Amino acid sequence: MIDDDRLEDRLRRAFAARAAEIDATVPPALVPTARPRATVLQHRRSRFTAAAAVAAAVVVVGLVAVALPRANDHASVTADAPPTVSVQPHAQPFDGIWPVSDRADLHRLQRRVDGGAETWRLDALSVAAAYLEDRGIRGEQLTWEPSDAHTGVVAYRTPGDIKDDRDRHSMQLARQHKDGIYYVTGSDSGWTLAPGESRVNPPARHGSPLRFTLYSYRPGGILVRAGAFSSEWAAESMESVTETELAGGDGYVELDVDLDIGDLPDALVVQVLHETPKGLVSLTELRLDSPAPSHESCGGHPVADPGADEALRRHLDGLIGTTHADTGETAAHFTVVGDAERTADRAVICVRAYWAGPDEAISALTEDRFVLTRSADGRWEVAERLTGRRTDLEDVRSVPVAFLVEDSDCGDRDSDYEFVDAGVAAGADSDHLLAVLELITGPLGPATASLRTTLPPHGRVHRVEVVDGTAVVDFTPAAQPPGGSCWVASVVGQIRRTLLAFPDVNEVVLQVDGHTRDVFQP
Amino acid sequence: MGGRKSGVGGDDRFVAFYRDEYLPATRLGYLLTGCRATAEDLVQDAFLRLQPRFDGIDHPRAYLRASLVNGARSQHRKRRRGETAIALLPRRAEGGLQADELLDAVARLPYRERAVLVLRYYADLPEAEIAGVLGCRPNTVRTTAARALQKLRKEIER
Repeated sequence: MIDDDRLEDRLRRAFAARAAEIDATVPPALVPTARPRATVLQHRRSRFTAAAAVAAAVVVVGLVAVALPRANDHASVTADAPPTVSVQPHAQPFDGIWPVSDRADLHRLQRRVDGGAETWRLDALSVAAAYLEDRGIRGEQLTWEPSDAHTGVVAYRTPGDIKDDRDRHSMQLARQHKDGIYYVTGSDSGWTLAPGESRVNPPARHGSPLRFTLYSYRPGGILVRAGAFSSEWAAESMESVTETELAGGDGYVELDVDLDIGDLPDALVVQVLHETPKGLVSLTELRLDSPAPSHESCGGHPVADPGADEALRRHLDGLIGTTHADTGETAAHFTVVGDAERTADRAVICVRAYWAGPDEAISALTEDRFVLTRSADGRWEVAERLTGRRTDLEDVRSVPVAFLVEDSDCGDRDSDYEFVDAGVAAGADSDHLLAVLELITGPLGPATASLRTTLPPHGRVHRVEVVDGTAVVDFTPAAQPPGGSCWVASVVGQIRRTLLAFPDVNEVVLQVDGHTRDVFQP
Repeated sequence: MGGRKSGVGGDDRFVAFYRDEYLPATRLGYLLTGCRATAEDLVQDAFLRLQPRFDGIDHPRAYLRASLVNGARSQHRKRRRGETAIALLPRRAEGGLQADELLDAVARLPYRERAVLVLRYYADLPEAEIAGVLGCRPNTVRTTAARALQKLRKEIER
């Protein structure tokens, strides 16, 4: 019988030999494996309307700071009162660019449709066609590919395109609930890669100037315009807030865009137009705004510097398994649930911890805040642990959570999931929010050894809100898997099944930083 | 108001990273997929996905690896409907399978088990890191590896 060491050694040698078949070569130029796509429309020098937008509903995201038992000072945990965490209202963002760009207008339009007018807005392809018409695009072969009930991509082709599936263009549609009207959250010509969060300077989202980087494949002149929509048929009624012309280049180029946007309100729509010799342009339209971060709420806000999270996680990893001398409880699991504060040099991060008794059963759930500071060499260090409140198992209520069965693959079937009654601390948080946090934490205890979670551990939740049977879950970007359709499917599967188990939830909408566009996509 | 143009090479750090990591990433992709061309495509996609986020990521190598492993998994899902890894006629050497046959046996494992073996015995990643890449718990990595080794041992002793 071959022993493990020999087998492992043979595997190492076999892998090394197979890998060596790939010789060291000069890396090829970095280009997409699928050719970029183009959207073509008549270039109309329409005017942008500088108008206020985003009158977002305000949701109070409250995450209590409670206590984490100190590994070497457990008595202080039960004795300490919970620290006070001031909670700021968390603006509820909206990601539409057409035909409405704020939630109030959406609700007005929804009421019109509910009253029997313009019922075509309930049909994704009709909305897509209307958007194309408004932008002067003659789209053909519209294809609707919903990723779930409320978001999806409309692929289309314009006359003169190369007859190739890869050269289709796309726009992303979304709606708020199953009877909601569809609206457009962005249009992708494929010629321009939208800037990621980290590429947009934070002040741009709340004031001026706007500075970001585009990736473009298109030679020739490029016009970048930024503005806010104030009404439907925006292309005709927009007033240019600002625009800049850039020289293109041959092949793949990176362009830094710098726009003085003055006192523009939060809702910012950017059009990137590429001129061609025939006077046509391709359009990429996107929205770059984001709500002002809540620096006090433990509900979290976009993470500007993940270094603090990494430092905290390393620290927490070191605590796992430590046993307290008095109680015999062992630190079993930590979940970073949100930020109480985040500046360039200081971070206060909320942490939820589970403690197991000698029988390995979870005996307590605690929450705490950790203070991290950035040292002179730029490294984050855990400076202090703030105490809070401990919740014993007797005070814990249960919520249903759907975890993935260990041997399942991608969560394609209902049988890939198993429900667990997860214990959560009684408190002000809604059961819906606690259930999602439990999904991030993962199954605990020997009874759930055959289950797992696929939600990324660094993910956090801004809010979970249930309105008219629709649960809207707004995550931080780190909650999205870095890739892989399988992984994404299992994450979405767990969240949806978990929330649909609540009697007041009929639909689930997933968001990232308030946006539904291009979220939780492989 | 204005713009500045630079090529992809404008971001020196990313270019250096791309140059350094392209070969290791392609080799890893090759072991995960068994196909050089597929591996090269996956690596390109993974770098392109990484590029816009590069400045904001603390551990780009880990991100790249996770992206690659999951890209390979998606590829595996697409392929498995039409293709099945077929066992080669065994060419018995003393003590079990030849290296090629051993890798064929690895290729017949479920993707997750294969990925765990590659990440553990080729990339030499600790369990916690493998868990991070695959989106599971370290304990799951341990049991998956044990299960995979057991299957390979059976193949060898057959």
